[in-house]
Amino acid sequence: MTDAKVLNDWPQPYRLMDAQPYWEALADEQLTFQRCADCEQAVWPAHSVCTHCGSAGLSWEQSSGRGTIYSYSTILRGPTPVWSAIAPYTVGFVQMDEGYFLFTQIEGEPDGIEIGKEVSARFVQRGEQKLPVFALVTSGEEG
Amino acid sequence: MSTAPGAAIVGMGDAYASLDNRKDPLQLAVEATTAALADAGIRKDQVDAVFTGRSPWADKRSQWSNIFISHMQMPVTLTSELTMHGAGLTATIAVASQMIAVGAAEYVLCLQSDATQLFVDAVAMGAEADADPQFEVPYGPTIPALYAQAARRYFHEFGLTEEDLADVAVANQRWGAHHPYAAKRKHGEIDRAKVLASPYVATPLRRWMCSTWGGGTGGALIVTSAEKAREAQNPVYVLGCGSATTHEYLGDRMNMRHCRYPGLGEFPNLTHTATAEAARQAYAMSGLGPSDIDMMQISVNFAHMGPIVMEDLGFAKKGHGIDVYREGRTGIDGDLPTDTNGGWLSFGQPGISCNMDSLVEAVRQLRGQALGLAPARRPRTALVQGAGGMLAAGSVALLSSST
Ligand SMILES: [Zn+2]
Repeated sequence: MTDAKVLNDWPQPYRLMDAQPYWEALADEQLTFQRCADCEQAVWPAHSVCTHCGSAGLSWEQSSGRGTIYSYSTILRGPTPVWSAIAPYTVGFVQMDEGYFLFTQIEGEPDGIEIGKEVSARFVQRGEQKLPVFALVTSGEEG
Repeated sequence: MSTAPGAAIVGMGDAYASLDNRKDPLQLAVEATTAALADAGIRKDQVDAVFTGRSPWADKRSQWSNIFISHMQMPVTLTSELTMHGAGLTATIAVASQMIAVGAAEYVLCLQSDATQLFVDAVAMGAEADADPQFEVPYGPTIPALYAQAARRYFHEFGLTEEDLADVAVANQRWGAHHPYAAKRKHGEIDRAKVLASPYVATPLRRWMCSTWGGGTGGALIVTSAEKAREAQNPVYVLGCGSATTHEYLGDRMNMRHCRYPGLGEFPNLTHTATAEAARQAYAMSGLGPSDIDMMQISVNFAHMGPIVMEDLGFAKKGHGIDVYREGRTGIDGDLPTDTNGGWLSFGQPGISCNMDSLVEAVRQLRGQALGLAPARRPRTALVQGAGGMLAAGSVALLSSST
């Protein structure tokens, strides 16, 4: 892969083995995370041992795809041409309803994005990879 | 009351490069080391160990500390890179002191150089180097956008505003406007309106609230025992050191539920850093506290880190660090002159060497050899805080011109 190709394409995730089920599920537009069978807490990012209690009893669950904005920033100056082309775009942490924090892109008008607002996931194709991004939940969709 | 220091800096050398005066990291390192050896009055064959931070951005070969001694044709007993992302560079002083204390070395060289702007497209490389390549990089974060996650939370939790951050930039530029090697020197002193008129880089951070890549720097320090330092011209004693790190990637930090260090507050949060624990260790080792410090060189790559670091170092309660700037304490007439070369915000970040620039500035001021402005009252005890990564690691060194 040449440098020019790297700069002009969507960066692809550096896949590690713990997260293989996550990436596979995303191909089917399913957002998943791990939960510990012993302490029952959500575990994220993907691990082979529970970061909270040390148990190896982790299993994959499907997320509701809903959460609230914990923090965010709108980027005016993209790092490479593919990002400059979609700037301004917003990245941030979503506190998922299941209790873990996911770094993601938050779509929508920057002025409408605020800490605490509800968001839900949808899926976008970025190069060979399908990725979850989030958008504000409008009042009509709530409940 | 402080305990007797075990080690001291007896040699200092610095070197500078610019677009008009290009030097690569190896050249900067050689120039700084040559000056430091001369300053200490020793030959290269008397150096027992060499510690650097991680490889310069402008020369990313791994084993850089060993590449350096190879280039110098300078056999030693130990070389290593102390990383903690970038904060390890400040911790080289601690490790050097420990080696000396146990008799494993007589002289240790702590060294770093870089010249990112002269050799690298740092904006393109930035996020890939500092974000999680699996779960963050696919969303295109930049370094300012990752730091902005903390700024946004800081605003939200403590009610700070862009105006407050502007005051930090103004305070640092007051120093930087007068330092010959400060990247933003040419702009002169600025006011709040100028900061608030600059465009957003990543909300809520505007251009004047962000550090810039600037030129190239090299810095070298020779550390030896406090006993040997008695023969030296201008020794700077190492009174205390500390360091801590909580993560590499912000996503790991956000998903921690608790932290063993009480100074970092309830988890998750993005408003406390490992510097709080690093400072606790350094104060405990030295027997000093914040009221004993009369100058600081700290890591303020984005304006909100000024107040956050002030709080982590114990100079204000969480959420009130901005008062230290508002009250003028960090200025030339203040009781806590801070970032006297302009700091990362105005001096700029030449690259990995930015934490060494802070150490060099502290040594110069303690010796009365400032290249830019000097505080109205010559400082005697300085705190140097080096940070690394995305709010990840912190290291603190307490230095003094007297024992
Ligand atoms: Zn568990």
